[in-house]
Amino acid sequence: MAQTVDPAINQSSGFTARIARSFLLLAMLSVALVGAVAYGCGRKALADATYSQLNMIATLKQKEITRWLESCEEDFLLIAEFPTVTTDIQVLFSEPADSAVYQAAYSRVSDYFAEIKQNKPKFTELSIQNKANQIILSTNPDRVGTYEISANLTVLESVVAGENFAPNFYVSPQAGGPAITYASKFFDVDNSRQGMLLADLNLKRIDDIISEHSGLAETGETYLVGSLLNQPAFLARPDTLLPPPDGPMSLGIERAFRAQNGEGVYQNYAGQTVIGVYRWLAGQDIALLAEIERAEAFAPARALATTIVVVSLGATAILLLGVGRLARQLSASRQQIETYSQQLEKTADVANSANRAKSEFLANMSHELRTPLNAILGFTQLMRRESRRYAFQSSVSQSFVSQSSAFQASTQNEYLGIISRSGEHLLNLINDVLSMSKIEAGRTTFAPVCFDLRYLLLTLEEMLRMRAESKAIQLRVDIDPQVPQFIKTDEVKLRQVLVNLVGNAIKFTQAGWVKLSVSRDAVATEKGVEKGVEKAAGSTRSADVDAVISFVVQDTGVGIPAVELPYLFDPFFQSSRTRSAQQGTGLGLAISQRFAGMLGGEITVQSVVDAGSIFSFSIQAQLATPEERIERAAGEVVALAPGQPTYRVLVVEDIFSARQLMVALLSQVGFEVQTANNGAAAIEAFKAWQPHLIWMDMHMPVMDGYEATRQIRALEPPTKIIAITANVFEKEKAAVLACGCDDFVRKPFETCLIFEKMAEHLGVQYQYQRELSVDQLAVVTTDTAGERSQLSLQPEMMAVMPAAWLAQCHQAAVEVDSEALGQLIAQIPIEHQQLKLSLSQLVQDFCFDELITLTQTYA
Amino acid sequence: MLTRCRRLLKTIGYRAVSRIIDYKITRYTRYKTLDYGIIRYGLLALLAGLTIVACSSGPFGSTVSLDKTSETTSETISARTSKESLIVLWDKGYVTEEDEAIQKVVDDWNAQSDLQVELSFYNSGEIAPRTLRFSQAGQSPDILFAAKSVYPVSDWDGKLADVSDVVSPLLESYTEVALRSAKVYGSEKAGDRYYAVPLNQSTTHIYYWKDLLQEAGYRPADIPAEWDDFWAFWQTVQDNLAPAYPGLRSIGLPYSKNASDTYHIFEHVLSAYNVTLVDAQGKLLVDDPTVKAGIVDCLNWYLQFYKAGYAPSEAVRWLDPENNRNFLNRAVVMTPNPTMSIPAAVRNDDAIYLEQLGTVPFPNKPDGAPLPHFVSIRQAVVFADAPNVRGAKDFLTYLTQPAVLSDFLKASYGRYIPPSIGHIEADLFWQDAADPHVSAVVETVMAGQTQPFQNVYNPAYGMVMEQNVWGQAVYDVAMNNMSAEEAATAAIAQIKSIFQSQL
Repeated sequence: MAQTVDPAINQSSGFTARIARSFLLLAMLSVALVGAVAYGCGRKALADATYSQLNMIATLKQKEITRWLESCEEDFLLIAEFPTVTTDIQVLFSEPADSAVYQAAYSRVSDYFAEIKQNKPKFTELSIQNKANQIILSTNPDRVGTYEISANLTVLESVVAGENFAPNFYVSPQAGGPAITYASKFFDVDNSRQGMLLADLNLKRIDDIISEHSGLAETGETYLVGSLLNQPAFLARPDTLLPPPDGPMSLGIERAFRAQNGEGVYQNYAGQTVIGVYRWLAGQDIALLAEIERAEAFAPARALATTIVVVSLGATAILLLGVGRLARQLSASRQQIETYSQQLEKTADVANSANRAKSEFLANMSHELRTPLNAILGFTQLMRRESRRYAFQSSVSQSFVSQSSAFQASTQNEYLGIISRSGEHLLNLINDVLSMSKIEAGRTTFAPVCFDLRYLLLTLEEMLRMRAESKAIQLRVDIDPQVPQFIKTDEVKLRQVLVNLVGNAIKFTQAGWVKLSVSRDAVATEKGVEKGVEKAAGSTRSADVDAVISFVVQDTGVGIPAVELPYLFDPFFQSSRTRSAQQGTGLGLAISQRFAGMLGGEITVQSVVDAGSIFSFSIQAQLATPEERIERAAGEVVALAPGQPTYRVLVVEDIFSARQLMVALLSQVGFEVQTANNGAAAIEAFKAWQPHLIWMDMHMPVMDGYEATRQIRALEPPTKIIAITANVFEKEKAAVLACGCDDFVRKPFETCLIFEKMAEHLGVQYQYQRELSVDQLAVVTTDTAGERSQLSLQPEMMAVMPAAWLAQCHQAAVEVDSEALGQLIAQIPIEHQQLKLSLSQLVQDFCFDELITLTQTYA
Repeated sequence: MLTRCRRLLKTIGYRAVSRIIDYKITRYTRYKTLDYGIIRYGLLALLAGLTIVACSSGPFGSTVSLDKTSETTSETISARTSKESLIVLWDKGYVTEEDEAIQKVVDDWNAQSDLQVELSFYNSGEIAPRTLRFSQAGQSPDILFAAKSVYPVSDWDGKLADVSDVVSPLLESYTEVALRSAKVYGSEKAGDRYYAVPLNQSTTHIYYWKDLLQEAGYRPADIPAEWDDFWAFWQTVQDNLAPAYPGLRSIGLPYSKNASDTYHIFEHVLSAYNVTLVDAQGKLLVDDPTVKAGIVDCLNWYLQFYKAGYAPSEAVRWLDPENNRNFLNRAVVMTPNPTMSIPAAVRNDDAIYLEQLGTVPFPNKPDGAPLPHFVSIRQAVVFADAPNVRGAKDFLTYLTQPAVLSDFLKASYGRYIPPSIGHIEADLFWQDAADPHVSAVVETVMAGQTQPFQNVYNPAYGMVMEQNVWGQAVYDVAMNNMSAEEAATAAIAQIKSIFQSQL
């Protein structure tokens, strides 16, 4: 049991895993897709939002810068044009430095500048430069007396709109960073330039404007990049006042420096991937950039995607549980189905084995029945022999036959005939059951032999004619001249089919006739059909077919109702007509149909109720070669032919009756016979007596035939051993031969077979009671049915005897001299055994009239 | 199977997936006669399609975004189309008078022309690259005048208008050096075309404080004319002044990589030691081992003053105005300067201009031969894609009239002298012996003690100047602990690389 469950579990877990795998794959694909799409869409939305945010910031910052520069200009010009200041500065330019006026003005201007510097942090330094470019006054005392190069100054004469105003950025020699210095000229009355007011702008303020309150996230930054020393440089970054070696550079800066405004994702000056907006402030000749690191900008999208993926994975996990459960349920139901089917298989096995057991039982049972029946039939046969011999001898030896003894013998014969017929009927029934059992157990094999078909048909006709005549039905056998005489097929089965069909026809015909037609079909045209038929019938035969022979059995009987036709060949089917007849096993047609299949055909039936039936079938047969045309119809053995050694035959048989039958059979003919009732006794007998041949029953107590045979085979001298077994199966034959037997005969056996086997193995020659030639078959009447011999002697047959003999015979018959007739009949040579027997029968039956008629022409 | 899954999913409430499966069921029932494989592959194709649609609808990578940037979201400031005014970008002067001088020319022009000039000043370090940016953006001005070199020349190639018609009237009067310099632009084109209009010339002279010299115990006449004596003299001056002015440095040589003054002066040093890098045919000679040895010697010679403390330590960070500023603020006793911006700055102060400030030419070479001064020719260019090329040329033709140009240069306080010997000779302003500075420069020029820079022989050398190869070499030795040999090797490699890329 465990062995059957384990693979099921493996299989089911494999199934679950497969479903789970497929589901997982699909789910992961979906999750990945949803995550990717969400991330992509989120990124796009965020990018758009970021761009608009950055653009807004850039615009605001741009405006702030221009506004701031404008306010610086305004403030600066306000300072420069403040009336008292202007006056004081003119004093500084015109009066000598050591004059009191100069000193006073200097002091006032200095104070004023100091105040401005305090109040206006946008100016870091305020100075006054004379016309020789020397600074004469400054909020930074260190600057006084130094020169300022005007290349760095941004000269203002009026307020210029911030967008168009281009301040002159320069690298401050003091700080090293970018700087802007405003300058405003002072003219004297002659409109001659006297000097300039200078104000250094506090670019830290620009940085504050740019970098503060950007509204951007942590990594967001806005910055200005200008060109200093022909390199991009941060304009307002205290921490990066000195530009890096090659200046800050990025795609955004590069594009802005090509006077382009735009946005995009690129690597910023520090190598970070950013979303950026870049502007070129054409007026100020600087680039404004607003950037945010992409990672941060897209962080919400990533978070969203991550959330979606995590939630999806969670959902997938839950789904997976569900799918797992589902799969387990599926797998469980699958397993259940498998269990069911296994149970069904087992049930089928049980049923099969039960059926086999039944068949075995039937076969064994039939066999068990047959063994005693065999004895009955055998002894009946023997008794009839004895009786015939006695009658013959008495008719020959005694001229007077008492009426009473004749009557007695005839009555005895009749009784024996009844026993024989009943026995044979019983045997037929048993045989039918056995055949069917064998067929169902699949043990029936096709055993082709070479035989005389015409003889078969003849004997068949003879056998059944009595029955037909008893019912006043005409039986006709039409044999087409084309039908070959010797063919090779399973004779036994063919005979059985024909007996069954013709027998049935007779049985169910109350008046009219029964006709068996045999014809030969053309093989060539039937080739294809044959194969089909062969296949359909499951025949074991080879495909070499020389002849197709058709058999048609037609009657004028009661017919079969159409509704019963489909079931006609089913086993144990009893048709309405059969039921009324209360005869048979109901197996006959079933067996016939199967045998017909083995023979390469199929029985078909046409029937009209109350009009008759036609059963027809074809068989496929090989034509016999001349060598195979053995004379099959041997006469009955009466004695051993003279001039032969005395053969010692040992009969080993545990059943007394069977043993006695064999002894009687063999000793009658002239063999010297001893017996043994088991294997051990047989070995002793062999040692003591050394028989020429041993008939060995295989199933015996003490020591069975197999063991005995093996032991005898080990002894000297070699001898012939023929097995006799009741076992009906072919495999037994192999076992028997394997243990050392020379041959094999099945019970119940025909006596002729016993003699045949002995002739085969010992070369024994017999004297027969009669010998039949093929040519004579038409005139020979056989006693196959066990009925009283009906010798149909023809006058021509008497021609073999000399005319003098015939005349004597005629005379004796006329004189009703049975003694003389007996003497004359005894003179008939052994070659004409049949004639001898027939004449003896006539004498015995007191048919002197017939004898007179037979011999009349020669008289 | 699908229906069961759908039911299960619905009970959990996972509608989205349930809907997908609904869809699958619909498909399945609709196409259930089809092979399941077809449905499966169809589904996969659908998923792939959805993915592609989803991907294509949003920015999934920087590459996509960058493409988007360049193609869709970047907008160039609209190109100039207005012909109403002439945009003129001018180098911011070192003295206010320079700006006023060109402003006066413009005012005069505006007074008599319908085409008004809009004049803008930018400082000399930024004006050229800025203009190039504008030009790349389709915002080319009409005229650019830049004091500093505008390199690399290839950047301007094709952008400049042919101004041969402006230059042709000047051919007879202008010096050969000036005319040759004017051909630096568009030199690859037909030989007789001009793509720049020379407006002035200048030489590098040495400026010093006479009063400080006097305090050191010397008179101007004591300044030696021979190379080694000359430089030793200034060291002595510092030594003498050191007690009174401890922070004073006598030799105001720049050691910075960002000042064009550095290469102007170092070129003179190379010339003094007869180190020739480019021959008259424009061939580069740096592979000559003697050239390298010469460069090494020159670097060692140049650095000796810095190392010995005769040059200011902050000179490594000087920009172009810084030597002026340091000199004017009397932080150094002398400094070489490529223009007369220093005298111009103090011209309004007669005491300083006439009494205290002195100007001398370079001393003779160490071998005793006179050292020819390199001449810088500054030029105005007209942009071919500007809306007013004709007007621009007209304005330049107006400006280069001898009278106008002379007045302009004089109003600039003589920071530059006219590019024509004739003009100099014709105007007493340039001949005024009382002006110690202009006369010194004019004397050198009139004496023919001049030579053109190497970029005239080979425009690629302009990049050597623009990239300040010598400034870098000097700076490396001064600040980066590099030996003169290493700096020379690096400089030669850089020069060769420039020449290869410019060819």
